[in-house]
This record gives sequence, C-alpha cells and structure tokens, in this order.
Amino acid sequence: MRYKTILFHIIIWLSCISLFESCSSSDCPLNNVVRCYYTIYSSEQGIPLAYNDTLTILAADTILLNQAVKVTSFSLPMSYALPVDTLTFHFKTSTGNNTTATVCVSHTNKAYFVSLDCPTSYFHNISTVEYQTSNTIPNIDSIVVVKPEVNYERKENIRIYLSNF
Amino acid sequence: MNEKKTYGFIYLIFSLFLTSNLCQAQVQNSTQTEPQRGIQYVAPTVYKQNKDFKLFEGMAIGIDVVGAVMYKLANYGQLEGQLRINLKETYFPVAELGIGHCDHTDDETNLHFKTNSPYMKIGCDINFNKDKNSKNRIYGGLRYAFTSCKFDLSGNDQEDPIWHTIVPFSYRNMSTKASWIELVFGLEAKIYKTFHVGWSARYKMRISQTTPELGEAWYLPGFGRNDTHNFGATFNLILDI
Repeated sequence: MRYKTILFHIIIWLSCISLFESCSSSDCPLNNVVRCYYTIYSSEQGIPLAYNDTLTILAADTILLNQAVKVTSFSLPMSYALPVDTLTFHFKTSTGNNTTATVCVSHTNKAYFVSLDCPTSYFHNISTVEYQTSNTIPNIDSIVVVKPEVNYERKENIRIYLSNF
Repeated sequence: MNEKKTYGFIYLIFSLFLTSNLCQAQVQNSTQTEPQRGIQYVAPTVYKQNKDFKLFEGMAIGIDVVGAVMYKLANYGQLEGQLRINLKETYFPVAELGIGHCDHTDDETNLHFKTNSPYMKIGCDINFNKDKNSKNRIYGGLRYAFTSCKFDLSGNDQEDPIWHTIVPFSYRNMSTKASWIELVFGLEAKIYKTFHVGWSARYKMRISQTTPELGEAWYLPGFGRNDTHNFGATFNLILDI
C-alpha cells in the first residue's frame, strides 16, 4: 500500500515536470534593431519636407546613406563605445551646388540584455548635437533632439532644420 | 505562449483533483472492515471520527530533493529546506529558506549567466483531507517569496560594425531584488512514524522586481527562469520533530 502510494506520487510528479518543460520558449524581441531616427524639416515652414536632391552620409570610412533622393526621414546606426559619432552630410543639388556639413552626436552607451538566447544590444542616450556647415545652399539651420533615448522604438530622435532648399 | 501555460495549469489542477479523489478512495477502502453475521449498525460515514487535535500539534522540517539534485547536476537548481508548524492538523504555517544556483551558458549566443544567492518564502498550507487521523494530507496554500541576488553576465567581445571598436561584454555583481506570490497544491503521505514524503505543484506570480540598467536577471533564485509568472514543483522529505 505504502509503496503504491509513493510510486503513484512519483509518476504524477514526473508528469508535472514534463508538462512544465514543454512550456519553455524564447522571449526575444522581434524588433531588435537600434538606430537613431532623423527627420528633415523646412526651417521656413516648420514642417517635414522631402529633400528633393541627393543626400549622402558618411561615418569614418563607411557610407551610411548613399545618394538618397527625395528623402524626408532616415535612420542611422550609433557607435557601441565611442562618446561622439562624427557624421559627414553631403548635400548635392541638381544645379550643381555641393554642401558638406559635419554633425557630431554626443551620446552615452549602455548594453542591454533580454535573455541568454537573444543577442545583446546597445542603447544610447543623446546628450548634445553640434554641427558645422558652410554658408551655401542648402544649409543646416538648426538641429533639435526630440527624443534622446535611442532604443528599439522606431520614433523620431533628431530633427534637422534645413534652410533655402 | 501564455495560453499554453494557462491550459497546462488547468490540466495540472484537473489531474491533481483526480489524484486527490483517488487518494480519498484508497483511504475509504482501507477503513472498511470485513462483514460480520447478524444484525449490524452501519455508520453514516466511512471515516473515523477525527480526534480532537491540539492547537500546537508539533513542528516538522523538510528538504526539497529535486531542487538539490538539480543544484548538483543541472545548470540551475536550489537547495531548499523548510520549517513547518502543525496547528490542529489543519493549518501549517511554513517558512522555506533556500539558495538558488545558476551557471548556464547558451550554446548559440555564448552568453554566460551565473548567480548563487539566497531566497526566502513564508506562508501557510491548509489540509483539506477529511480523515485527519491518517496523517495523509491534501493541501493548498499560499507563499510570499523574496530574493535579493547578485549575478554575473558575460559573453564574447563585440565589434562595432561601423566604427570597428571592440567592446568587452562582461558585467559582475549586478544586483536585483524580486518578490512573488506562489499558489501551492500538494499531497503528502505518512511513510513511517514521523517520516512523510510529499510533492507540491506551484504557480508563481512575480509582483515586484528591481531591474539593473543592463536588463532583467535571466534566473531568479527560488523563482526559476525569470518571467511574469512561472511554474514549479517540489518533492519533499519531511520529518516531524
């Protein structure tokens, strides 16, 4: 009687374990890309406008945006470890005007962990954005940080106000 | 995923309900005596009258065998002991203390998580078995559990694809605290004199957690894989003292 009771308990317990094991799954986020989202605004009208000519953006020796045409918004990666990302914007108009602007995005970096079976990511917090541009057309009028937190959210982080375009 | 867990839990409760009925049937069979000749009086209930139990019926200590085996052999497990008070053979206030251990490396990401921290649970079980003389118990209960743990997380160095910087991924002594509620259902059988064995199934609901900047701990001592809820089971050896 006692042995049957013990055996019965063990069988039930093992069946419980098998039930629990079958419920395990991965919790990795589907959207696991971290990028900084930029939008181009008209400084005169204060609304988002497409830059009808060609825009190229470089960082270090890498082209991040290659001759984009009629672009209103775009996203760029941020460095995992550097405190400042230095980006070079090349504006090229159909009339042959070329403008080069240097944009320096200062930010902090922190690693982000979800689960052992998911790849890790780096989140950022933008502190300041500085820029240098020549007084040609088009010209960067100002840059505003809308949302300093750069993470999995696909929301606008930085507004670039262009004048005379 | 959550639906799967819910259905699994319903299935578990249903199977445990059947189990408790079977156990009661066994008790009934064991109390029947052989028929005698002549006119007999048949008692309206097959259960013996429960004797009057004292308010303090004693104390018991126990250990969780499965957690201990997992602690030694698997990537994660716990060493857990319990101290329980028996009030009128019906109410069992209980305190459970343990050390949760995890030393796990994921094969695909090569991320390594390590912790070795204590946890504590306090609560009460209620014995629903009508035949309390038998010392076999069918119980349900509630626990409030708490852990304060430190963990290490490390992995391969990562290279930034644009700026080509190498970033080491190694974080030590990350601190987190968590508390949760456990719903307990269990069976316990008297084996020999003061020695009992029992198992319990537990549904755990996390109610609070402090998260370090890095992210949530992958494993919480006493809770298991970190999530909003979790299931668990114990197999206990219990000794009345």
